[in-house]
Amino acid sequence: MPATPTSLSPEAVTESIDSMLKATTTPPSPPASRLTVSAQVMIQMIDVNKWYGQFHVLKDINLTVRKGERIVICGPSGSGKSTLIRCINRLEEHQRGRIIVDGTELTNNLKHIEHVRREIGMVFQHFNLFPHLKVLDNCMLAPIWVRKLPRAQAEEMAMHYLKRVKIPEQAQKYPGQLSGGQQQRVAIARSLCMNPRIMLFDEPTSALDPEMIKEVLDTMVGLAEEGMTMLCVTHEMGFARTVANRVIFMDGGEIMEENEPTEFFNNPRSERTKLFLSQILHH
Amino acid sequence: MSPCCWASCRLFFCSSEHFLTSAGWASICCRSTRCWWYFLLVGDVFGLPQVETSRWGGLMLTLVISIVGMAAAFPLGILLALGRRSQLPIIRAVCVVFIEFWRGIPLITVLFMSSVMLPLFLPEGMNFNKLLRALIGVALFEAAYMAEVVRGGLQAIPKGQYEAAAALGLGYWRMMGLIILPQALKLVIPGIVNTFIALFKDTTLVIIIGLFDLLGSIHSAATDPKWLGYATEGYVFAALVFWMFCFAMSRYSQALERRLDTGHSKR
Repeated sequence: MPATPTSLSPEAVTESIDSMLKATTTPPSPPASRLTVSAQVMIQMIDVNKWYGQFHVLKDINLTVRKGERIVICGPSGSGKSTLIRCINRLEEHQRGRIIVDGTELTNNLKHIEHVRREIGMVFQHFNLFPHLKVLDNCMLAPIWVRKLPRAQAEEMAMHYLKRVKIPEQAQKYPGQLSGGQQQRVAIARSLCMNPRIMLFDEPTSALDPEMIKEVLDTMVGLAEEGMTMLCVTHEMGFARTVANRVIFMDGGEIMEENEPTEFFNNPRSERTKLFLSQILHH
Repeated sequence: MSPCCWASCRLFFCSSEHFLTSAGWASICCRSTRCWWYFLLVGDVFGLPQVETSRWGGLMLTLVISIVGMAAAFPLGILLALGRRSQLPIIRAVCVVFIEFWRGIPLITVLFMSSVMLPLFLPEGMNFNKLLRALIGVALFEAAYMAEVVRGGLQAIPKGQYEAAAALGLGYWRMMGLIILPQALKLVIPGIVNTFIALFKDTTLVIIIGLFDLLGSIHSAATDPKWLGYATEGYVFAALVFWMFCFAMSRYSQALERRLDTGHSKR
């Protein structure tokens, strides 16, 4: 603790300590309408640090995600939010601290990494569909080769999820023949075909035209309503407001603020959050 | 067979509809068991006399050397290209040294070494087939070139493809065999065919180790008093045959590119 400034009254100090404790130790209690969150911890990050050479990207990140939670991560570009979620399935390696996903700690052990990746679905900003395979084959590939499902069963599942994202009629086309919004929905279906327990979204709507954003967000809202554990890096504040249990604001590699959405938007605590919100909400 | 080999076979032998089916496998296996031509060459069956490989010659020898060379150099080149991009320092170093060594010496040297120098290092009485030695030399030589062509293709695949494959839980060999190599090899079809055509024409060099391929046979016929004065016709005919084969390969590669085109954006 820093030395108590003389100008502050003892009451004010206790209050500020209280609020700090509240912010760091107790997760905000979910409102009555969002009681689907269970006590089971899916992702735990403890003092995670990461450097790109000299650049300190993630600084002492502590984050606990429970089953069924829907977390939106926002912040200015370069704040480390993509790196944070890419660390969760080890597309990026952290240098210090621990990341435990559904009971498996991420270390250099390849078996553990592949196990964790099988349980986590990821949707990228640039879709990253496999251009040499048809939409259906994109969806069937991982179930067949990773889950070892028989072809017929994999096809049935792929068609099921393509229907879920409302594009079963595109199954026989190649990704290059689809619009951006459709490609992103295929990417979501492809991830869902692995029956993941957690879904990560890395700016899923940032590369889309405005009118395609809605179709992707609708799909994501549907997924959230079914109780999927989701971490989503996005600038769609409307989505954050309606879907998220918690909003995390990052800047300079640190989690600056973490709160449930109404509080986050109406009563941002830090100045940096206020500035960020004023810039993205009133332009 | 690893998915890696499978991908390369698939690219050159099966149509794209065969993907993820056992039909693709069947068609490859079926082709590889068609080795009847081997017995026709070697003889010693159905009352045919046995023919030593040292007496093989002409167009058939050209075809044997180039087809075996291609078939061996292609998968080996892919493995070398993967090895050169490997995270493991020892594998990478071995592949770099191999590629730089074989690319740095002329094919004539390779053939000469294999037929003249190699027996000096082998124990007394141990002697293996001259044709086989030439085949191994040609295959290793071409594999180094092939490796660099394939590496060019691997480098053109966006990072997102590796990440998407990894995020789905695919391991290294499946990622390479199912996602990266099919795209990379498709990109470098022109380069691969270029190398194959060069290999096909380079087979004429086997004359210096006493194997008579198409050009070698014509060359020796031209010195025969009975054929005196017909050398030009012979060489023109050889040129025509070589051109026909090379042009056919070129056309096939263009057809293959068209067939494999899925009109995708590089995303």
